[in-house]
Amino acid sequence: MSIIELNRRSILRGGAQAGLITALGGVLGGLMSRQALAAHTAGQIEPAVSPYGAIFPVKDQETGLELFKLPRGFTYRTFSWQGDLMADGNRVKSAHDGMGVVAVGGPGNQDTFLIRNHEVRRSESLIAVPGQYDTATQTFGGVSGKLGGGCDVLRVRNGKLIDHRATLGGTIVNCAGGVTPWGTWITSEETIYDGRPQGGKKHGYNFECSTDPAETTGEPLVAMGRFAHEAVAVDPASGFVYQTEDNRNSSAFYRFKPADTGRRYGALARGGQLQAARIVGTPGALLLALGGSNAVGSVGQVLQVEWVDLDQPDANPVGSRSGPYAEALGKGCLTMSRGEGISHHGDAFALVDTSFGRDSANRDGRGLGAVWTYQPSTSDPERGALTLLYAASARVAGNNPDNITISPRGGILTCDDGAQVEDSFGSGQRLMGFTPHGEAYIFAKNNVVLSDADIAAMGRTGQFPADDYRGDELAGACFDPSGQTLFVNVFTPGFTAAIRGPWAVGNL
Amino acid sequence: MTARHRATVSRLPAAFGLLLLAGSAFWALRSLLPGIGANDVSAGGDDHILLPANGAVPVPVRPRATPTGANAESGRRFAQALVIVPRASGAGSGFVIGPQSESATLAGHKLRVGDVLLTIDGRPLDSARIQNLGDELSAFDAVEVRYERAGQIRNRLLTFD
Repeated sequence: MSIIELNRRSILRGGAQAGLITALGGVLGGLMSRQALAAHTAGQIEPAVSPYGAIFPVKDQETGLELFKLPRGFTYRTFSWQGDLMADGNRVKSAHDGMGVVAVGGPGNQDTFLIRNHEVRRSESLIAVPGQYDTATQTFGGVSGKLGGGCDVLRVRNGKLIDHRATLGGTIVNCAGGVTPWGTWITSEETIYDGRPQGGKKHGYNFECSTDPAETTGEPLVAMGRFAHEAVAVDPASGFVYQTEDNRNSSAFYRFKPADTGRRYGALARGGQLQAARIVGTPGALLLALGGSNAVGSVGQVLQVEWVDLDQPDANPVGSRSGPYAEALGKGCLTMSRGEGISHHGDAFALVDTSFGRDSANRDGRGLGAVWTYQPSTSDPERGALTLLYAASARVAGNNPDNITISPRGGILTCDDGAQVEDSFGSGQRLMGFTPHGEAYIFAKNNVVLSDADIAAMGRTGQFPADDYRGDELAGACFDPSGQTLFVNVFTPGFTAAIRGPWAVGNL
Repeated sequence: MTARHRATVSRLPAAFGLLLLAGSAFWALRSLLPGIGANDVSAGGDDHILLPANGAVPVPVRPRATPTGANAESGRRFAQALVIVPRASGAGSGFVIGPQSESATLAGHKLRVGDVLLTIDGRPLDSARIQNLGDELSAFDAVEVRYERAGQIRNRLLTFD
């Protein structure tokens, strides 16, 4: 069965199943009481011991190459490499980035449906799909052509790819995004590029993607704001969409209250209210590092938040600041350094600031990153609480987290996007888990080193060059609803992997 | 690319020598005046605290100074090691790392001759910025570089600590 033939009720069943598992997995409040904080209150300086044990090079069941280092007992299979021919005739784009499990379906709901971003940053060929946004030829990234970003749908059964095809085109810098409870994917452009002088369109928007490419419209979700979007997460209780911004030391924390609460494809496009977070009693609060002029002084500190309406979600940038951030700042809203991934679990959210902290020159927003939690108030929908869960103090302990996901059992996993750390397991970017005490441990490492012979042996000559890719980031980590499979992307050369193993040994 | 532009870029190492002296003087002065650039957060313990459920405020703890150790000259040395030229017109934006660059320094940062630098610290390069790149990078512990190699856009965090 092709993705186009997906039974709609299967999607709905998938969403319901995911919701059930989320509820059973416990709320993030429970996670916080168990999983809690970094043991070192000003930040962790060494990786914790992984409950899964040491990691070793493991062969890909598809190519036979040792592309990841994983704990004993874990296996994986790769698929949908950049340049591969998809079912719809498109070639898989490069720069595999944010990704989410949007639904399950097929016989016995054994199929997992993912939607994946391609963070393409220059003009090239346009993805051929019904849902295209900006189709003008223009120079972007110094190259003339069509805008090459967009999204694909992948259908996976028992860890094997059985179908993949594109669902959105004509966008750029599709960084991350987030899944919706109604089985779609919100993809986020991390740019405020304006193509109008070249006959193109404004960028910096979210777009909703369906598993059915014929349903994806390519319509920008303008009311959600125009800024360097990173990621979104939907609160299934309220339907509010929480959003992060990645613009160093000029990033707000947003949410969107949809006007149409129908919870179906297209509802977000019908408009709503964009808001930004403000720390109660601390107008203009800075959350860039611990102490100094910042409103946060320690890991574990709780900050009360109130939400402020923004009137101009599509406002033009003001200097290096996005229009919505400029308005938010004028209304006393908080400033983060570089918002990254955000993930919902139970009744709360975990979100990443990849450069929280300070460098040796004492500059705020130049650190090694942090993880916050946000818990909406149960008594006042316009309030909530931000808590600093984790702050890295050493590259080896978890540096510059980017994408984040929470397993159905409540374990946090982040994708490092910092330096190519040399740790006790060698060189390479990492996936970091968090212990029940909130300390980061090494779950997996990028081990992609490809020769021309390797590429030829897998039948992909010409799709990407031979090189040492261990320093390239892992991205888009997400679990299937059962928690049996972790899907993750290697950004360059782009491919997706399905990792399976004895998850119950640890807390993921 | 113009010949004039190439010459400007190629003269950079000499200019960096002067900047190196100025930078050294600054850092020497900084070490004598602990108030300048000093981390103003006090040392704290390694107490283990757990986040309470239900949003209750945990016992306050004092922040500890973030470990430092950045080598201010490492960023400058990286800039000095670079000899870069604008990419040919129509091939895209960016500056190509030329063969006159110090390959050992590049290798230490996993870069190569022929790589095309697109952005440093999230901003594109231009002639004015390149001339002050040593000063700029001397202030960083780490900096994000986006570059193109063999047609693929790559990202890397260069560390100078």
